[in-house]
Amino acid sequence: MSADDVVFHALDVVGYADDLPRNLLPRLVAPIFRQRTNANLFLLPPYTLTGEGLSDFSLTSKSDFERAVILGQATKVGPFQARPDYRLWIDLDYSPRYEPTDEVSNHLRAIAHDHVRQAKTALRASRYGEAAKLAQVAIAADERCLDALLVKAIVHRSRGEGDEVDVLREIAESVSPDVEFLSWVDMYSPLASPVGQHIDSLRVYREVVALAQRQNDVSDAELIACVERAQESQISVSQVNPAPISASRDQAADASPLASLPEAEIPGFVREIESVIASHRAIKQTVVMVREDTPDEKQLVAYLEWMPATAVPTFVLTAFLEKKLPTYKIPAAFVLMDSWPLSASGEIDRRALPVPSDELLSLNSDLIAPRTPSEERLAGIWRDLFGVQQIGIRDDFFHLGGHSLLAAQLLARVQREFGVRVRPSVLFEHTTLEELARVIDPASSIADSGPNAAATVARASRVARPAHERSLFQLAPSNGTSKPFFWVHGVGGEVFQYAALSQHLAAVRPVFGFTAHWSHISGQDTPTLEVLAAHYVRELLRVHPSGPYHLGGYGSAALLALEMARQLEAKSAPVGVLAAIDCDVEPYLRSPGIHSAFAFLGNLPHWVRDEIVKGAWKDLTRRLKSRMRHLFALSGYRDYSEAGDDLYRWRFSDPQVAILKAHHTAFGSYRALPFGGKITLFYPRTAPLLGPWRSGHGPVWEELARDGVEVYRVRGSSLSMLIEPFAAELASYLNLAMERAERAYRDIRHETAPEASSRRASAPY
Amino acid sequence: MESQTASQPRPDRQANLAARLAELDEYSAAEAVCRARSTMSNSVGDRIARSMPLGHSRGAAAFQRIAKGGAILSRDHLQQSGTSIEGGEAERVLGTTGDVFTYAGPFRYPGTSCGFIFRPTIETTRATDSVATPFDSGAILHHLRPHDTTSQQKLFLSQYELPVPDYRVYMSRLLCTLFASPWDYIDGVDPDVRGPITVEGGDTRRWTFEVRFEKELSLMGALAAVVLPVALAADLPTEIAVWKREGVRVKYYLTPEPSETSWKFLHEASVSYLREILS
Repeated sequence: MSADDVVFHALDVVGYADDLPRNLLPRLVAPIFRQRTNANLFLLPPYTLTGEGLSDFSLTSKSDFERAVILGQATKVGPFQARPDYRLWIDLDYSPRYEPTDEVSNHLRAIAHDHVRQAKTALRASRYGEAAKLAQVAIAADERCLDALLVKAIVHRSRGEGDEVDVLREIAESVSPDVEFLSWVDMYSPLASPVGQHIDSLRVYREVVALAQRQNDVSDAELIACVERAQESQISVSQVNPAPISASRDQAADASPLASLPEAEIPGFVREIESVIASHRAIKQTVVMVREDTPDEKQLVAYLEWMPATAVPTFVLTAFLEKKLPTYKIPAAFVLMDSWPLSASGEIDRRALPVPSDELLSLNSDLIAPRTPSEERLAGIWRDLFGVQQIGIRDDFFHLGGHSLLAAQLLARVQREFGVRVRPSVLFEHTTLEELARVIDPASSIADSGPNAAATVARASRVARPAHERSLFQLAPSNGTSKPFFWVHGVGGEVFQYAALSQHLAAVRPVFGFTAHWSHISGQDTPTLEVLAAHYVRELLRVHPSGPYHLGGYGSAALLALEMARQLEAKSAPVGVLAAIDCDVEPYLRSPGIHSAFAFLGNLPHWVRDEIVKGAWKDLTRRLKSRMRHLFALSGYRDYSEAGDDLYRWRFSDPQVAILKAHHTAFGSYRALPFGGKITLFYPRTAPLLGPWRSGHGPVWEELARDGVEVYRVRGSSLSMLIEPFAAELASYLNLAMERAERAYRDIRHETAPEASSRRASAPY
Repeated sequence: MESQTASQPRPDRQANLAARLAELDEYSAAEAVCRARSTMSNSVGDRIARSMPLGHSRGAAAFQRIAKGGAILSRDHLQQSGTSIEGGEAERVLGTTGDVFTYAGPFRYPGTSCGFIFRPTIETTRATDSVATPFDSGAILHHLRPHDTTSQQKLFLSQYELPVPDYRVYMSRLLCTLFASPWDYIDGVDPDVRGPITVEGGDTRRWTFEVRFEKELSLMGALAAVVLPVALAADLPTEIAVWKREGVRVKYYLTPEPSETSWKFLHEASVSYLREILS
């Protein structure tokens, strides 16, 4: 066969060679082509392809096709059509070259992503050899694919090959020096556990851990049921109602497969589902059908018409249905209807309802694929972070489960891959992929953007300017007229952790947050907490000249809030609520003593029980040792370079690391002094292992609050109390405290107006 | 055709060494720059020549095969085991297909992407079945008197075959007298005088010492360092773990984008490593 017989448009890529051809660098997983006109003829690497033609090639018949195993055939990646302008060749140095570079690089990344996904699936099924092989293909396609290294490390760990895990750690660190690879291995290893086999992403894993922590008696089976329901519905595990989780076994017992549903029972079956769907406030009309468009494949399809201007994302609707219906009654597809086919009698003609298709499925119609190179690159980052296959430009970072650590990773990767430094607060103002892409690369998105593009770009330009001015940002829009609440940042320097709480608080009041600046850190001596607080207080008084001021923070952030409250007090500015959420203030007052040992012993049984519930008992000894090491590191709690190590496990950018280190020093050297008003304390019902045993920190905080403390215990653990579903409870208590404070403040001003100026301004109660 | 492999009878290499040293002395006496340098003590050149490791670089697939097999095999040995490899014209002509080739210096073979760096001490244990030349022997065919006949080329090669590890004395003298700085040898900067060896053209391999070992070169206990791309390293964690237990330094690099070649990264990594250990 001559070269003339083989032209690019006559070739399809049907897979990728899993053995690296001699002298072919592993950067490229060489495609295997198949001739379109003769499906039995393949082109295997090595070969030379250029726009001018082929050389050094030979087509191989399928019967001889032994040297390379086709990978990727069953994936979404391939096949793709080779094109005349697609160039792949091996140069004189035997280096693989390809053009167009971006397109091929993107394709390679897609290969990597797809193979990592398959590798994780294999890992969950304990097919370790296959998992390692797939992971190797992924890393061959994209050397920066840390997830692939992770899968390989877990495989080696499962075989007890610790040295190999350490080698992979070194390799990962050569790719990304800041990565705490072994922590990742620890975190991902449960993927191979019974529960882990049902988890498809790190995000879901984290949610499961949180769920297990707050539901101490939850079993593996219940966790699995929860995970499956969440993943089927593409919602957060935390959005699944705990009650149905507990009852899942009962539901499973009487769940009847759709396929075996008697024909006579279908009308009643769908009517029940229709009534539940129709009870959602956003639904104007709905019809549910059991369809069998493919023989022997019945599926439940819901046709929906939204109320005017009230369309909600389908995952919200799915979450709603999850709470009211068993899994098998949740429609597999949702089709949005603008108008309904009617019969002669004027009723909806069910038989004329369209067959669900990709174009009609609401899940897909919600998803608008990235349109620009910037959006595509950003979507790739989001896919990695959230472990999901599809990302649409209207997807919202926080709706997808984004939180502070993921945000830090996102911004670090944006800086690395786009060369653009984006402030964390920008993510609050531009939460969708589309908006964030415009912030990162305004020029690339103007041409195909909607009518609001100019305004958005203008806003983006304003927000993305070099960060040297504002610290204060609105976290949640609000029509509420009550006094605003101000979150302050902790050691991490940002306020993402308050996203869920802020949404609830915004129902009655605006919510703002103070974030840290690189410019506060770089080129200066490390600022003290007092200096940081003074900066924020100046900005607070400039932007919001009248009080009372409600402040709060989680963990170490409460110390900054305390210092700000003290400085406001010194300026005779009234402080309403000073909220300290789950903050152990004792290390900032005195050195730890024997009480710490008692706290440890008291909490140990609870912690051990939680670990066993989580299925981590096999690892218990190692984890206990780890916690003990941590305890000893904390024995001189001021050493924040040790205590803060956990924070560096994520891939922060250099400025973020600079902030973290500076804040560790600033927070660590802070000596808490009393505040003249009351302090409102919030604690989770599940105490941390190293915290005081079930008694809270109230007595310690009392030393700092001259008007005493008010303590609320809220549902959730230290990690989960800020997120759904527990955020609502905490927010309601916080709003209650603020309403009381504002009322008291008004009363005091009204009743003692002549004396008001001489009263302590920060004692509104 | 007379074979010149390291295992077969060779001319008196000690005599070759003495002749080459005398030749260098004569050349230095005639060249003012060399004459001045030869009178100066150059401890740096001595140290570099004495401690210079041996490098061997390959493509990814060959590297992987060697890593898993535990030894670099000669072309003849590979063919006997049924593995066919391309090229090797120069080796066939010169009769060196039975040897494993290394450079006393950084990796100098373009187009490769991974490399082994061996401890110089292996020369002591392999002194009887190894040989050194002050240039890349393959360069003879292409860059040494192209008009010469094969027999003349082979004769030329035999005259420059030096004993191992004694060739390092000659190497030290060359580094100290021909190069502006002995570090130039590592950095790939040509000597500022032509020198007594009449190999012309080509690249740095024209003056890079080559050490050939008979049949095979085992990795066990011999490796000082390896350099390889991340993707390949991820496929060899077990082998790397073994090497690390033996104290082998492992350097990883990210394969560059198409605008740059892996070879450039590999070469720079080896230069960086040599400068670090020889400083």
